[in-house]
Amino acid sequence: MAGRDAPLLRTLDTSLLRVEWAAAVIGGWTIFALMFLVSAEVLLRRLLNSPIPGQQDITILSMATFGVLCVSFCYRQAGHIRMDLLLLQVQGRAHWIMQLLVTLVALLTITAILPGTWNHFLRAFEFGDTTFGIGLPTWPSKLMAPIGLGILWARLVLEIWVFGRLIADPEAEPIGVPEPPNPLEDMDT
Amino acid sequence: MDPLTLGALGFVVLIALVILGVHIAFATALTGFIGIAMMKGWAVASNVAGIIPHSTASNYLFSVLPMFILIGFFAHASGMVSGAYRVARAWAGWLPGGLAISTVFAAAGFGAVSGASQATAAVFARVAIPELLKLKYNPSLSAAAVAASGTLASLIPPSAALVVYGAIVDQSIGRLLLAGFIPGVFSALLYALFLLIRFSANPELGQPIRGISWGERGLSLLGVWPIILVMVMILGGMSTGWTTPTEAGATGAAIVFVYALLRRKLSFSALNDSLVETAKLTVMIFATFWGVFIFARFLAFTRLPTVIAEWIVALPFEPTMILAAILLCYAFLGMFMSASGMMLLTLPVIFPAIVELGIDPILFGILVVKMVEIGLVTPPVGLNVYVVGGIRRDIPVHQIFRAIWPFVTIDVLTVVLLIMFPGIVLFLPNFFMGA
Repeated sequence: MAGRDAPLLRTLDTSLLRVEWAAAVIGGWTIFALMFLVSAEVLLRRLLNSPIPGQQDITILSMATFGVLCVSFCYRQAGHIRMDLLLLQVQGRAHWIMQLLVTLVALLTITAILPGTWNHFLRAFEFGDTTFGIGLPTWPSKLMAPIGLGILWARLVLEIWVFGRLIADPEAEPIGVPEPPNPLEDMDT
Repeated sequence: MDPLTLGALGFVVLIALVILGVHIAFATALTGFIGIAMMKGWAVASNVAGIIPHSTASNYLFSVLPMFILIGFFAHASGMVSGAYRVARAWAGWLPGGLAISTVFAAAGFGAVSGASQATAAVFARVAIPELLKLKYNPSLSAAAVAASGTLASLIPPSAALVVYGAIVDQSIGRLLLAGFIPGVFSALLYALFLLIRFSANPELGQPIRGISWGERGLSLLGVWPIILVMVMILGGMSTGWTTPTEAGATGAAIVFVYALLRRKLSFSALNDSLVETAKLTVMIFATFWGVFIFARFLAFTRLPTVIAEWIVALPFEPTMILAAILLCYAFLGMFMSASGMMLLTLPVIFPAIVELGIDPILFGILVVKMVEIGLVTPPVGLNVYVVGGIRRDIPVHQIFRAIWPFVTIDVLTVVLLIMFPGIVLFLPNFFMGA
């Protein structure tokens, strides 16, 4: 690596990563909280015959935090499933061109989906949609989708810069390229 | 363009995008979106694609996934794996090839708290291989045993792969998880039997462990109570109908969490890391779900899966032959792709045919997962082998691949046995949840 730096890109990447990480922390701690909630519900229902009211509603509504909100963190950590056999065969500038094309496809996808998720939230917000069980409003949960995809959209736009820079100068330091922190720890199912 | 041609074209474009390296989530969502837009207009496409991410991420049935993943992370953080290994070693170490056999049993036991094949292989590459090499066990055979044993985790509940299958084809996740137990244990026993024969025939490959006292054996059992408790919780809870899979998973995770706390193995930052990783893995699967669901909606509009099903059923072959051909395709695909990726891509197209052929969906799920796992240990992209080889750079990957063939043969034989005697798979779910 020639190590040519791009301070602005680095700053933007790190700042966005902070937002993405925060989203993942919210998702992770929600899972943890749900673990306690659901376990408590099982114990109370089975042992004391007194289920926690609205447990299912809370579970359903909070799932959006780890079902969509932190999607961009997973992208930045190269977590999403893909077949990179061909991509890894190609080296140098051609590799970065392919990465750019792949990123453009992803950006196109999110640009197409994003408005629909916003409208879905807006409908719930305007009509006061609530859950079946204890009547919780659904809009905060539905808002997670456009927020999560919005962060991902911003990430993909930044990735165009990332790969565009590497196409112009394949020897430059690859700042902001999605990579798993430790490839051997990167679990898949 | 007529809908069928459009459907076929969509599938071709999807495959092309995936081969180019586009993430499966985006490739499926985009082809699905464009397909729906071409057939029903942009507004419908935008509406469908806008609803699916949230509706998928708020489906109660899918909330079992993060719980299962969490169990695995907590089990890893709490050092439960060494407990499992100590027990297996104490009880099976005296056999010919005892330490290798112990590795298989410990991995199967760890499979009861882990749903991920590669993760299990990675953990055992770190824990078991150093021990095996210390006792001068053959390195490539040791590494192959570890890579193959990792696959046991994806059948023995909790299994993430079976949840993914159940989610896509809309089958009872509880049934699938119960169905995976016997085939998982059966595979472990066959692996152990192979090692027993191999080491008996050629004792130079590795010596049994001598001089383990009964006291030591008894003491070792203390290290596995949480594993047994989680197993009772998951299998017991679901088979008696006491808990839903999510509830079984949550209580299982809580048990392992308490164990990790008691052992003082979980610092705040380790907990935070485990949770962030769990969220990352969960959103990875969920994102692929939405993509696939958008694509599946498009496919349903085109009627392509129905037509393929009708075509396959009309073929002049026995259903078993057709099933074998489909499974072969899975083994081939498994060489290039991860388990969930492959299932997510193919099941929306192929599953209606399976139903039409009269093949039990639960049995098919177990068979598919087994085939996918075979792909994980065969070249060129046997991920489990690469994981083990990556951790143990002193053992060349091609040697591991060479040593793994007997395990692959055993797996293929297992699949044949499961097809011939579906009772092995269906006994538990039918017994506990009714036929």
